[in-house]
Amino acid sequence: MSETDPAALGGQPFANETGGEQLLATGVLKEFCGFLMNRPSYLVGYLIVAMAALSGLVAPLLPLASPVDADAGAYLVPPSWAHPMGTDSAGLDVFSRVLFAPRVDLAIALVSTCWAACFGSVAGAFVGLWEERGGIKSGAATLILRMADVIQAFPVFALALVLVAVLGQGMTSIIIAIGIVNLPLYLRLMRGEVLRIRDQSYVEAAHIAGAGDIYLLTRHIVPNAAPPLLAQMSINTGVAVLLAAGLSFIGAGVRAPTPEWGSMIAMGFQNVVTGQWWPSMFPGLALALTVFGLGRIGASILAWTNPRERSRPTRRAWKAFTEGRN
Amino acid sequence: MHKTANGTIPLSRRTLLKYGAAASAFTFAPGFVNASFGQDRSKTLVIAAPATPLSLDVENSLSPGTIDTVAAFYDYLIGFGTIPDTVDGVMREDLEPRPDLPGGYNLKGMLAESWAFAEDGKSVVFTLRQGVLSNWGNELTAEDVKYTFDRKFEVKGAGAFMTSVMGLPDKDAVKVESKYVVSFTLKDPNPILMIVCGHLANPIFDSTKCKEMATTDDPWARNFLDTNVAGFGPYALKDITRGQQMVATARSDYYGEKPYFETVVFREVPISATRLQLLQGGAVDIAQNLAPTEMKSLENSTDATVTSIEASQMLWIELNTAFAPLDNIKVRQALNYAMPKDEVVKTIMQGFGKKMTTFMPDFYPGATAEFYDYDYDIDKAKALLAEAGHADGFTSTLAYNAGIPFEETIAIMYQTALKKIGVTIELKKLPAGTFFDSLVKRSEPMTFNLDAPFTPDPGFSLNLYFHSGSFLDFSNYKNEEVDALIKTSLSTLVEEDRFAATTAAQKIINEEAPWTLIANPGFQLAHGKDIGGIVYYTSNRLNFQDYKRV
Repeated sequence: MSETDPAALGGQPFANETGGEQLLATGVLKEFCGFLMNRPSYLVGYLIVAMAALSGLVAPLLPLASPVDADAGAYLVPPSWAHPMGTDSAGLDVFSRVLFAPRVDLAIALVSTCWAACFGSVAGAFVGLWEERGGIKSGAATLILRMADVIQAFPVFALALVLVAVLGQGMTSIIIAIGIVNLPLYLRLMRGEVLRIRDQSYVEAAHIAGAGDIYLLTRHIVPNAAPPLLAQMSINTGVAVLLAAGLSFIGAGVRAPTPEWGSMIAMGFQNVVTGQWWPSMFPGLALALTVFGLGRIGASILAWTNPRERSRPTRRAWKAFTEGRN
Repeated sequence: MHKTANGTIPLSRRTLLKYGAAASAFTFAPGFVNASFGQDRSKTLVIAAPATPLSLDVENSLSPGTIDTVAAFYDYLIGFGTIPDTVDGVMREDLEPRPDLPGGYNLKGMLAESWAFAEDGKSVVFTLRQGVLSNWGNELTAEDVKYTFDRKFEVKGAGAFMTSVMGLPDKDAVKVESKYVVSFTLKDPNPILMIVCGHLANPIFDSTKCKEMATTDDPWARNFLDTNVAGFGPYALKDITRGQQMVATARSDYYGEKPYFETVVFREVPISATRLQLLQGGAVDIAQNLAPTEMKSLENSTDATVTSIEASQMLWIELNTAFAPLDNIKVRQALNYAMPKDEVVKTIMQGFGKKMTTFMPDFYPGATAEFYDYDYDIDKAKALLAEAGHADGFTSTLAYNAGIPFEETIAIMYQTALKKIGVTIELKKLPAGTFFDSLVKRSEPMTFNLDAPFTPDPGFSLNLYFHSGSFLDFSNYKNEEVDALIKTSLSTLVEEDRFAATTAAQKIINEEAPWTLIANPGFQLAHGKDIGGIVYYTSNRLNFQDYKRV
């Protein structure tokens, strides 16, 4: 591995005492786990999201009431052993629906974020690389940037709503809509990273040596631009969950009675004022926790990729260090 | 108060918060609310409504806001006499047929002082009240009545339907006999002519003002009447800002009894929970369209209550016979048996209203539930589906209005019930505008409908929803025998024959089930306990002039 190969600089020189290359090959995951274990505020995010994902995965296997079949006799029943989170105004079991909802919410958020990140970052990479190349490449880059400007000129929620209205109600439409409104974020992020990296001497050297655009991007640029992208994806997944819930709240999301936190809140919020808080409170809590968890995951990735933050001693380590010195 | 040397108050975060909080509290203080009306709160009626009127012209709109306000500004030729309701302190229209009286019902003159029918029943002459002034100070004459009906023929809005139901063939059918006498000449005798004259959509316009406001492009003053009024009713419009509020003031020159409330503020409050809170806090006197649970929550209130009255409102699902397999009678019957009506009324509607057993309001003259047999029965539904060749069920779509929250909960309950007979329905939540568009275009197999025939007559009601030529036949129902029976009921003056025809029609309709019957939600008025004088009208409207503080 050459000195100019950024893989060797993937944050390693700052963070450990064992030597970067060996650690990269064998202990990145272990070190990352250690990093999390020493920072419980980040760890809790992973635990929350893991629980949400797990609940979505195992919910069909659990002996729960049907999340979509109404019990006509159980109207707004308060939390009890039979219905741990009560029932809503259609007689649907809130507990069962809260557990099933991540199947929809997380699926929408993950798929929409992934496709936005894929297309956005690929477009951003080419825009960054071509921007000052002149000719048709510069023209294409400018055109893509202006299109992103147009998308970003609209309020995110309003644009998502219009897109869902045009595409029609349904999960696919929501995924497409959320992806489109998020796409410019990744485009700009990747473009910024490419602009930073493309002037590095190792990239210029490769270019002079005759490397093509795709080789430069895949071999030298994108791998080094990935960490901030991953952090953005994590944060953005949380935003996508909120956006999906928001669309469902106003009736533009998934179709009833599909278990989905936003639509559950919408169905139950009218009852809060009359004292039946449970139909909207529990899904609201689940939504808030999941978004919080995704936010912590994003923050942890940012911290991990920031050498200074990553090497900062934890409170416990600092305490041990000072006690040892004394 | 700390001031700077030049006497000004220094702007800091603390001072901003302090004075901001004080300003907020002042704004919401009762005194300020009262002062904002600029007059005696006790003589001001404040209503929290889901929406302000879309239009003040009945030719343009019969939206809820319009329905609730138009009768305050306009008077009609006649109206029903009133009788006490079963609910204490409430009055309602006397709908009992009275063949001994001219017009066949207990009618009271409003703008018409008297009326007389020709022997053959093909014409009626109205003598108008004299000295009646509009809110623009113009005196009521026969020209105003003539103008009103000419306008219906020309504008071709809701009035076109009205003139057809009244049996008026053309503009010449309404003739000015003298300054205060106007005659209506019909092609055939029409038993419901008089009561249709009192229909909410038949107010009398001040022709002098309308002509004054007409332009070459707008000869019938549609633009003016969209946002203004020219009528002979007890109130005048002071101000309307759509999306915010409408203010009406009582007219001192009104010919009839002066309303108790001098000012009416009709304020738009889109969220029902907010309307409830405003009512509970005493900021408004009436909160419209509360959810059933919200109305239930007022049971223990010391300041507000809900007056629940039997009403013409009906809630049902249109089974569009243009879509297979809904073209099969047995399938439609099965869908009726699968609707858990009792549970819907008991839970979702919290006991407000009752299950629907007739294809028109059940208290209307001539309505009969004797053919009804659609109580919840899954076994019967399964058997009928099997007979229809759909033992394994089928898949369909049910559209509902996003603006009516309980439709979604009923739809979910119905979807669950239908699963038991193997029928899978996809629920389609549509914004109000899109929903009505799909209803009118009849583009969905199954669609919720919440409506009422305002004229309390079986022929009128059946004609509205089940005549194959009606614009409200959203289920695409077509039965020539029913069409003929409806025609008979609307063209004979002999009461027994009319009701025999509508009974026969109801029997067929009940058998062929073009609707899934759900419930009669009733008319619920959530109001302060100090509001009285409530009168129920079959148009399910508010009537500001009736209300008073008790």
